[in-house]
Amino acid sequence: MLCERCQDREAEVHIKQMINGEVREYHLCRECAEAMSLEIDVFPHLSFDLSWENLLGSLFEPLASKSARRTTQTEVKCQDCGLDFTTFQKSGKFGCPTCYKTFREYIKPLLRKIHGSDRHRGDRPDVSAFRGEAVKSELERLQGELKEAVEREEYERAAKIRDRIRELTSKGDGSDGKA
Amino acid sequence: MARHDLLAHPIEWIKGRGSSSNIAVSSRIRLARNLSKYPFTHRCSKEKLLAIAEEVKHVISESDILKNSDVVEMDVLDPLSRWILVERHLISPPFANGGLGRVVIIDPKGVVSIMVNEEDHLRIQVILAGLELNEVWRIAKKVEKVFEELGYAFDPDFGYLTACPTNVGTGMRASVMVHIPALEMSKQVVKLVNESNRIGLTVRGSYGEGSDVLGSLYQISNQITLGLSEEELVDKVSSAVSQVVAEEERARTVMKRKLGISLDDRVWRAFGILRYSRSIASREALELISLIKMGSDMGITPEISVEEWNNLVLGVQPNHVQMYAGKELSPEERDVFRATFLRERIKAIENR
Repeated sequence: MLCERCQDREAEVHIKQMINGEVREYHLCRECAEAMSLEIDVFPHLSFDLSWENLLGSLFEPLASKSARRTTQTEVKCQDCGLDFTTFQKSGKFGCPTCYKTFREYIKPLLRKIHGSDRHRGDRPDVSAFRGEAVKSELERLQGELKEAVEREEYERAAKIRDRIRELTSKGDGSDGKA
Repeated sequence: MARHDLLAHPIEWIKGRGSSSNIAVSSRIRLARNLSKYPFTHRCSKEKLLAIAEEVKHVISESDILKNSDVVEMDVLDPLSRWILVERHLISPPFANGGLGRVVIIDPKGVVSIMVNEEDHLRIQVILAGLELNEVWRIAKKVEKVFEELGYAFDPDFGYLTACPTNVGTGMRASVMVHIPALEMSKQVVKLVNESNRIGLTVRGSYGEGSDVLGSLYQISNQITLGLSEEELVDKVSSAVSQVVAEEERARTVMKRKLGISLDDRVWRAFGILRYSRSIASREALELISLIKMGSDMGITPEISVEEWNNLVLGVQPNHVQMYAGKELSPEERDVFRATFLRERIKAIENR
């Protein structure tokens, strides 16, 4: 198969993208693939070292380079586990649940690349089952979420969050003296 | 003690009681969950790994549906038993290497297996025979609720948080193992793989990521875990598998018409080798077992029940052969014992 871009060299790189359920395929030679990865933001940077971790890490490169430019090399570290972005890029694994908060803005585009979406639509934990510390941290998070929803004028979502907070506080009273 | 109990443990999916289990061998759902107050497993200290294991054990001891389960530390198990569990699809290959705080929990019926401190703190897995993903999901959800009191790491936007972003959201992998020799022979697997990828499904070998395809057994599972609900993911995999089952049946009918006696010949030759060989490698054994199962489904060779077939497929795996022999074996010795095992089983099927 010939490269669809230059129609000259053999296509060696085959990329399939899924964005919002739409699938687009690319069949390219190495040179054109590298060129395109610079042009198109959603295209992964290709290192041609296709171990899974490298592949996952490479999804970050465009973001990482952009953010490095913006923040002039100040490395963001997770406040809870101390994981920095470079380590994450290398391993493709987060250090702790708080990492998702710390790297939130970098994570959204990454999740869109992996899953074609950055929003969970499935089951949620039943907050009434939470105990002790879990109640406290869940409450804190919900309050932050509520504020955000109100700011964005997403009132329907805000109402849902308020219901969850009520559910949690009415249940949490007895068992959660610490909070 | 633990070893003996665990290997004798009944395993529900092997019995083959489920719809379309001739072709859709088993349905499995795996849920990844983490406890919000600990770092992910790979960043946990020894103390934390042990603390997680303790918290989980405590919950199990008080749970009505799980309290009679076997709870076994991986480090206590001998390597053979661990790899037997891998071959039976109860634990993952990386988990079999053992390590501090790694615990496996298997319920009395052998439907639920839970890995503690794998890549995520909890990997809850439910397997049934046949195309039964809806029922599997119902059970998985019930088991998942048991550990909810420990406080799952959850984010309203991103869903259940996992060590690897490829599992975040539902944390769910729903997969069905299918036996599709006719689609393979008629060179339709490439098409199946492409079509599946197009709709967000993955097709892999029977032992998951990176494993070889052996004996025409493939696993079809959801690729993405975020952006769709659990029910939507289950529906997607189920409807794809129903279609694959129908296609496989159609391919068998076409093949029978086109090949006639040469198909019968091929299947009977497979039967003959399994019945009389003196040394056989696992790859060849699995290919031949696949042929005689298809032959049995099509009324060519003697009938083999789904349970017998599952036991043949498991019985020729390297660690099961050693369990059969009752001792550790070199690869050459395994081939000899494997052939003995097969002769014994196939003879019983033939003489029935």
